[in-house]
Amino acid sequence: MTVDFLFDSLVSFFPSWGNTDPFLIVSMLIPLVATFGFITIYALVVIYAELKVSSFIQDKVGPMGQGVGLHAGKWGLLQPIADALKLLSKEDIIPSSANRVLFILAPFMIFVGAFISFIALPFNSSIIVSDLNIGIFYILGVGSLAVIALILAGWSSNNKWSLYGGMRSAAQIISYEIPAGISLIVVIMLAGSLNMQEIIIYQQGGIANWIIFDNPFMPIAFIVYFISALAETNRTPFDLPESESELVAGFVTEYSGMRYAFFFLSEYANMFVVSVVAVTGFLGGWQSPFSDSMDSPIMGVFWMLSKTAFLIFIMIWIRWTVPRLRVDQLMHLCWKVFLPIGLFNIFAVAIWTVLFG
Amino acid sequence: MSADMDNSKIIELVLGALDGDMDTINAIEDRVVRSKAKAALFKAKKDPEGYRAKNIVSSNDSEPSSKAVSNEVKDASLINLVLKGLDGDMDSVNAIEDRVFRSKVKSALVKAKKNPEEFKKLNHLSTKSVDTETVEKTQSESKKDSISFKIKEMADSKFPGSITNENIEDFLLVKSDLWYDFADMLKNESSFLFDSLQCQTGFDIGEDTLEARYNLHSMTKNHYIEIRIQVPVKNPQIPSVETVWRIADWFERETYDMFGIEFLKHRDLRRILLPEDWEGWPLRKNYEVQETYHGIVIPKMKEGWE
Amino acid sequence: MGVIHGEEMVLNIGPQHPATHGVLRLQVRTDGEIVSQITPYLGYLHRCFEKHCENVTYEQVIPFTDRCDYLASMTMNFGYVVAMEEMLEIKVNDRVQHIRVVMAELQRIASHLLGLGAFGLDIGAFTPFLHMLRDRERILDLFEMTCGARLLYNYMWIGGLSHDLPVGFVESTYKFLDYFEPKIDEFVDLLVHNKIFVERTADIGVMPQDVAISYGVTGPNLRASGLKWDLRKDDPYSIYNKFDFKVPVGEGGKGTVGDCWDRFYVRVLEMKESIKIVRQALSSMPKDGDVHQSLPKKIKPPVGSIYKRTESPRGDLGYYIQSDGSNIPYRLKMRSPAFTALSVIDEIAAGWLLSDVLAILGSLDIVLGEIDR
Repeated sequence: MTVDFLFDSLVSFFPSWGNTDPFLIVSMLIPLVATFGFITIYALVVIYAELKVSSFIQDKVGPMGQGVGLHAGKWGLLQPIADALKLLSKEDIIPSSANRVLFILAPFMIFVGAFISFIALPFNSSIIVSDLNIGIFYILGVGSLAVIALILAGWSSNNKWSLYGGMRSAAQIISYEIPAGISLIVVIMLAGSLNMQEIIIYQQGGIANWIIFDNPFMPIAFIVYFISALAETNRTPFDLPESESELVAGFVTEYSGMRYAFFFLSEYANMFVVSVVAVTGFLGGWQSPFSDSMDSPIMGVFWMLSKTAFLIFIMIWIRWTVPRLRVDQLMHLCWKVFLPIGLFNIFAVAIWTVLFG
Repeated sequence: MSADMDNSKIIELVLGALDGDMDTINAIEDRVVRSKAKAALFKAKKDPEGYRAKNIVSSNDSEPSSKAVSNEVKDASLINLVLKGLDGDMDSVNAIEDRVFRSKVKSALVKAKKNPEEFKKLNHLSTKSVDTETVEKTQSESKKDSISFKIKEMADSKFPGSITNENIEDFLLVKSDLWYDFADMLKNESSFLFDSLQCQTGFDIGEDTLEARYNLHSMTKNHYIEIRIQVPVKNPQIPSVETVWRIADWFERETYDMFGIEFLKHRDLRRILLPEDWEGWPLRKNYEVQETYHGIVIPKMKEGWE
Repeated sequence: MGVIHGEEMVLNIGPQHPATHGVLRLQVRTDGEIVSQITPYLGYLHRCFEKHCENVTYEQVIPFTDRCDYLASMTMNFGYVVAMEEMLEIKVNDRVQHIRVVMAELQRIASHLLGLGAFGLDIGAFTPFLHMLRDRERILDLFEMTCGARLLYNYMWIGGLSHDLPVGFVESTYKFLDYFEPKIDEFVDLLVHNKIFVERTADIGVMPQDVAISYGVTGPNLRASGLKWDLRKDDPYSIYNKFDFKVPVGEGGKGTVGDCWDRFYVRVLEMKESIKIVRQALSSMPKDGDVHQSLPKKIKPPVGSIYKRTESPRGDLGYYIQSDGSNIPYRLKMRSPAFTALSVIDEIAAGWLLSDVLAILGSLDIVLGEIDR
């Protein structure tokens, strides 16, 4: 529900109230709380999915249980809840020589950066917290808040390993925003607008109208965007900043308990945001692949969530299969491989569109 | 030092007592020395041959044999005597003057009597009698013999007096101050080319002597030699060969750590396995562990543990 | 071209660190990400093995040797037992020899599995590590069937073995070998030819042959640098000269000869050769023979010393034993192959990035228990 829709309905419900400011505040709070609730439930689901998928890839069984009780529930469904409770109950340790203010600030900042991009995500033709005219541009912009947070986390821990992690991650995220943005430029060129809903509506009419199948250069743009998005969220093969065997735990070495949980909550939230942007831009958003059939508000949410889930599954799959890139190889990949490909794509798509409409 | 004199005196007394002479021990004035001698005698009586072998040999300063060849089989006259004994002729055995040699012959005879045919076969066939195992072993032994002889030849010409032992088939005893040039020769000379230092060990062989043993091997020519260097405990210094074989760097640090042998011109001689501020040289036989380390009491006896 | 020099940062990798294969401290001087000097600090796991051996009898030394290299205990026992049997001139019967070879080669496969898996983990590949551990568990099941222990066996005794093979061992081993052989190819597909893995390991940490020989590096590390030196072929002990197997040598498959990829690939090929040896040994093993037949009643070697080398999964394992005629060793020194392999790290890892240092350390396959004794 957009904020406007809520505001109008509240005003029409209570026409006798003169001052409409409380309605404004309430109509802003409800979507925010709903989004926060959504993120929490999503985090529980994706943690469970990661545990199970990784276990199947590694020939293990993952969380298991024989029924509700002290075990992890039937099929281990209570495991993520157990994890969350464990993290909540841990001791909160702040190193004595760390910079207290920045140390405490860093997890909040990174979560804020992930959270505020949720307000521009379209779940349905009507469910979107705020239908900004510059939707995609806004999401790309606020995603950079994570960089400041990571540098703060690395530096304020007063630990050489965290510093390494923070520096590496800052370099990585800043570099990979460029190929991600350039790949989205071709989407914007075709759709003619930065607005998320308009991009989705441009792709209506079934699977053949999705932007990814529009011309042969779009799959290349999709792959470049997807890999750059993996790098932005610090997932393997780009998880150098938090790599376990090299830097102990990178920039989160000194964090424990709920602060540590915030970093990982924001990593999963970022995964979601990035997948939704990919689905919106390339895979048709909440449109159904069969043109105009199975298309209703509820099915819209279903299509959006299932396509996003598919992309998240691929991210988890890649994490557990492929080893890690070294820092200079990562940079080489970004600047010397993806950037030229992205620029070439822009020209190619433009020429194709002019020639073949 | 008085402790060492006591030690050798005690050995003398015990050896005498093993042969039956108890009066000398009982006649000693000093109660401490007498009790030490009696304690050593009690121990030695459990294994007289071994005790004799250890102490007579080490006091004579000729090296016991190495490489799993028993003493008995080496000496041809010994073999003859044992063969005679197997045939029934014990007189010649009993007529041997030298007590040590007689006991050797007798123990060899006991062994041979367990399997007389085997012994006769082995000893009639092999006239060289250095080696009783496979033919390849004999060939490699003779190869090794020749390499040690070659080394001795060249060493005598370049560094006269460097090799100071007689049984050079097993190892070479090199003087410590000539060791660096000797090692250089071993590595670079075209007929030797010992390019790999396999193992370097320290030994505390008693009698106030420390020893460092080097096992060298040549990858290109596939021959092998063992070098020993003896130094006195009061001034254990050996030139370092870390510029010749790079692994000597760490091996020498370990020997320094455990025995206290100083290697001259080593670029960074410090302890490698123990903390830097540990006191004492642990693998020496007279090592006493320190009382405390940074305030932690080191328990010495099990009874002291709670 | 001007170069900006900042200050050098001194970093401590370890002693508690997930990647250092034990308690090892590496003091690293870095300029940004490039490492200029590495100084290893040892001794965190020093347990006075050599001093203990001067106070226990020869048979009681065998459990101590287990604990030195705890990932390859059978081969540690094997080396000691071979040295002692040569000193005492004991000949063991054929069945004992065959069983020993089977156990040593199975142990070699298990040790390589763990070494390769841990190396993959350092590089960032989480899945091959778990696959290798799964296969290693099967080998440990075979060992548990035989002697009751999964990690520290005390199995090979001077003059024989502690237990004979149980009923069903030979069939289980054949089943395991048939199951395991295709897994090696699966692993090669997953990791060895993966482009990211190749980029992380090829041309990194090249160890030239003369450096390797001078630093005393032996075993798979030396074979990866191109020199064909395997004690099982060049200085055979036990009955290894009866079996037919190749010795894999590094050929610079993806880069220079002697880089990390070569050290990795040589170990993969060695596992295949070990499978061959186990099959041959199992098929030619005599059915009868008492494993306790040649156990000596009293172990009192003649006065003298011996230095004997055998091939452990990490290199040349040497035992220098000096006896003074009693039943307690006068001095026992263990020349450990990982000790020499670690000493070369400053030479080959200086000048690379920090991630590469950890990759090189993983490719050398060290175990701290053996280095510190």
